[in-house]
Amino acid sequence: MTNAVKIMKSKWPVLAAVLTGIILMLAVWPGGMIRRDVEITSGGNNPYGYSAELTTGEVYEQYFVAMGDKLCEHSVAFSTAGDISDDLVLRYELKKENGEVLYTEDLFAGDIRYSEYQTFIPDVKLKKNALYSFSITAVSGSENLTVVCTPLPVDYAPGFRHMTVDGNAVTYTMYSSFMYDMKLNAANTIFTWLTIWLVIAALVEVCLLRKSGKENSSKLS
Amino acid sequence: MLSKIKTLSEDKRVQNIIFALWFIASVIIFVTLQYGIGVDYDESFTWDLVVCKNFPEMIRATAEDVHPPLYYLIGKLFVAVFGASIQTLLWDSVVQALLTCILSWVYVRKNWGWKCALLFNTVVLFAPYQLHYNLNMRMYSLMNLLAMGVIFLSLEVIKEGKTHQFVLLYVFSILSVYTQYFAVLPVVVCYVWLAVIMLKNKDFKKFRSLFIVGALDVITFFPWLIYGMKNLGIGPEGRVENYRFKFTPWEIVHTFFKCNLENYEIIAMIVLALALVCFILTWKRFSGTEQSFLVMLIINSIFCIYVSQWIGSLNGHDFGMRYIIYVYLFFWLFMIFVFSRAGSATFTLLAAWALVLCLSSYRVEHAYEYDTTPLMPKTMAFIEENISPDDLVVYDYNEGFYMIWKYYMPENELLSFFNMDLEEMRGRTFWFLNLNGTEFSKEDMEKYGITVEKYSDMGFMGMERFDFWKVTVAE
Repeated sequence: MTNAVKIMKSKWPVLAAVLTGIILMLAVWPGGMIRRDVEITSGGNNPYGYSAELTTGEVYEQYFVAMGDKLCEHSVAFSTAGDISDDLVLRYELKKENGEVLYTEDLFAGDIRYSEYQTFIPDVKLKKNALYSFSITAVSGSENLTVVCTPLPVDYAPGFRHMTVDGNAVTYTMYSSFMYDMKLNAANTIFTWLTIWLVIAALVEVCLLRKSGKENSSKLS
Repeated sequence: MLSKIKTLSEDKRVQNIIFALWFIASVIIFVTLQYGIGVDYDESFTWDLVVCKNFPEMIRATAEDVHPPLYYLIGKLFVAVFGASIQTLLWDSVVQALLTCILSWVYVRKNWGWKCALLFNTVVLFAPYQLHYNLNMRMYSLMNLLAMGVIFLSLEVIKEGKTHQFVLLYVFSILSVYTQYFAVLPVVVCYVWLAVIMLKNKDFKKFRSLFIVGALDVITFFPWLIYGMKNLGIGPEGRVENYRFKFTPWEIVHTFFKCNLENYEIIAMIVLALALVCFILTWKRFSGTEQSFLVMLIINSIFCIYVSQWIGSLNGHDFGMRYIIYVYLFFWLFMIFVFSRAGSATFTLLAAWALVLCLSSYRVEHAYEYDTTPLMPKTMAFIEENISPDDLVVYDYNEGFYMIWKYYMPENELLSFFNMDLEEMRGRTFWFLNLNGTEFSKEDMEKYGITVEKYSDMGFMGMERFDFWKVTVAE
């Protein structure tokens, strides 16, 4: 009697295993039980580029297209050319294309670290492929504080678009990193599904055939 | 129809045709990854030894390095025959990986069937971690070939014990330890396993042959070991303070299965654990020799991972999991063998799972070859136009890694920023390759009358952008 026939004869455990597999597959996709963090960045891990000095009240605005439907974290690179003013208030705003503010966060002097990304946590839902912007404004105490930018083309990094300073277009892009929370893409979904079925198939074949008492030491031909 | 296919697949000639087609396809895939315009830090060391040094200089340099000379000797042979280029040394590594596949086609097919052999070969060439080091101008693909040779021949010696198998065991053992010092570990485990089995079976004839082979290994390797050990700095003086050991399963799979798939660490641990569970549950499906072979693979893997790191902690040189890259193949051989006995559905799903990993690995490697070099043409053109071979180039990186700058600017004098005496630089103009954002202090700028012209957004393969500064120090 072949292994396949023996398996089919033990139909109820096999059906239960198949049903479990299908439920787990659907939970992964489209259920979205397992998600992934995707980072889209316009710069490397060590921001070291062109520094644009902030002036009090000046609005640095970077436009971008949302690459996912949920923005968890957003990091922007700053640098200091000397001692920062104790009066510093740095305002971060995340906006829709029409200017509606989705998220605001203020940073103060003690929050700024030299040549590092400062992380904001908007944790907002976005519409994928829609245009948004984030702005950095030194509300007060802007001395010696710079925003780190790259003079590479605006489309150098995926999703990044043009940048303005007080509404005037400039030829550089802010060093910035978006962290999106997304469902698994096709490759990851297939990989996860295969893992589920590998586990189920192994346990079914091993346990059922073990139960049937069939011992087979022949090699897989 | 299915029975006809089954009959055909049992024909060794058909299997060989399938292998030949697979082999040709693999070579074509490697061709698509041969952009080959840049080197990493370790590859520049290979280039310096193999291309820039003569034979006696190379031997002396390898004795002072953390690796024995065999790989460099083979590299020098390749360069002598095919010319000095990145492609020559990359194909040196690829050929060694392909030889591993031929070896496993003989021995894996013989013991576990052609499907296991084909799957294992696919993993040897294209799995994460493996593909990168098969395309690396270093000794890691050679290590895979030699370590797997020791493993396969150990099994042959136990099962048959013919004279030529003992000879091949000696050859693979001695060549592996002449390639990597850490290769002593899997070789020792294999020999101990063989000795235990032979003594348990009271097979004293084989034990005597094993003893002779082992003695020959020691005699042949001992002179180099003494010569090289003096320079390895192993001991209390070389001990690395607060060395961080990578012992957890997560850290091990994080390195060995690294790819662009989500949660690959957890998934790899699940599949490895599943293989262990299946091995236990299907224990009786394996013969006595197979059981002990698989147990030996587990012990060998654990031994290599832990002991190699302990040795690495005694030596000032940073330890990398790549030094025991063959352990990754031990994992795969174990999984393939165990799942092939679990059943055909399990094996087929393992093959599909492995294929997805290999595809991910290909994408990552393709991106590494082609997407981490966007600034290279601009940088090379800048060097060509602006930096004369007589110019001094200062760099702000670890002095031990100067060879990578030497690869790109072979005729220039190189000096580490941290060893530079500005007093001696008075009246000179030099180039500063600024990778880490090092600045001259305000005091030095004023005291030495330093002027700087900055040229930004330069880059070599795989590294962060750097600047070239043209620095002039006043008289």
